[in-house]
Amino acid sequence: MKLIRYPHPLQQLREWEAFFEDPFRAFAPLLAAPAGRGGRPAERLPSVEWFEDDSSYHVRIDLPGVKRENLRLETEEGLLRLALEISGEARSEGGPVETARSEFVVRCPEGINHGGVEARLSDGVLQVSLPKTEARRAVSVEIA
Amino acid sequence: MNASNELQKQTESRAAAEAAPQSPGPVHRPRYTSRYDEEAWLVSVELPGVRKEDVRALVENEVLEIVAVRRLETPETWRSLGRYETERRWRLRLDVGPEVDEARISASLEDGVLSLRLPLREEVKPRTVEIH
Repeated sequence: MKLIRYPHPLQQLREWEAFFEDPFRAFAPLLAAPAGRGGRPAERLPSVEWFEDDSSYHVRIDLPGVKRENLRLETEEGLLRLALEISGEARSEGGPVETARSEFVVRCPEGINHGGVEARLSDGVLQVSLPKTEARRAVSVEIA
Repeated sequence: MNASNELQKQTESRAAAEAAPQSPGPVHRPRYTSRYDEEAWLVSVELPGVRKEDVRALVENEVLEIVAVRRLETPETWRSLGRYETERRWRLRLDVGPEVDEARISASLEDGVLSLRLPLREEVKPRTVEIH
């Protein structure tokens, strides 16, 4: 069997930070590059996909293996803060349980109604909907 | 060829067809980890957003192949800020070698991680030799 040892995904969160720092800046070159194509570095980046509609921004972040009870999500102006704490299984019976802690931030657009943020984690994908404040919403203008 | 082999072949060709990029889009190699517990190889494959019915694992000729596609629902009103893949495909091929008991391989999918257990054949399990 061919074995390639990767670090635990949670240990890689630190490495992701730089990437999460400014997803908008990164849009063009980085997010457009499908993970895994053309070399290792791309393979290590998680997928972050941003969308918007008239009333909200939406972001999807891949967090394979992460359960709801291990994830804490906070918002502040221009930032999404994700904190993960996972107790891994003990390597051997009676051995120490490994705990991985990670925190990272995702820069998000300003003009978010923080009270209305909704998040859902399913099948290892976190989806967050960030409603725009009134001022940011698209308004259709009637032409007389 | 027996019935189960035949079935496997069919499943494989179907999975292969599904993995083939009909729409332009690369087939990714998923990230995975593996470890060994003396009874079996334990392989974890990261397939975020993939549902059970959209992943297939087959073993043939000592090669384990995992093919998966993720279909996330994206409402029509959403405009992408960047590029995204409406469907993301993964394929992983692992050389499992003759020591794996192919008939007893088991798998489960949870939170976007496929966990495979590849038990070793009795005769290749490590044994402690008693010294007299």
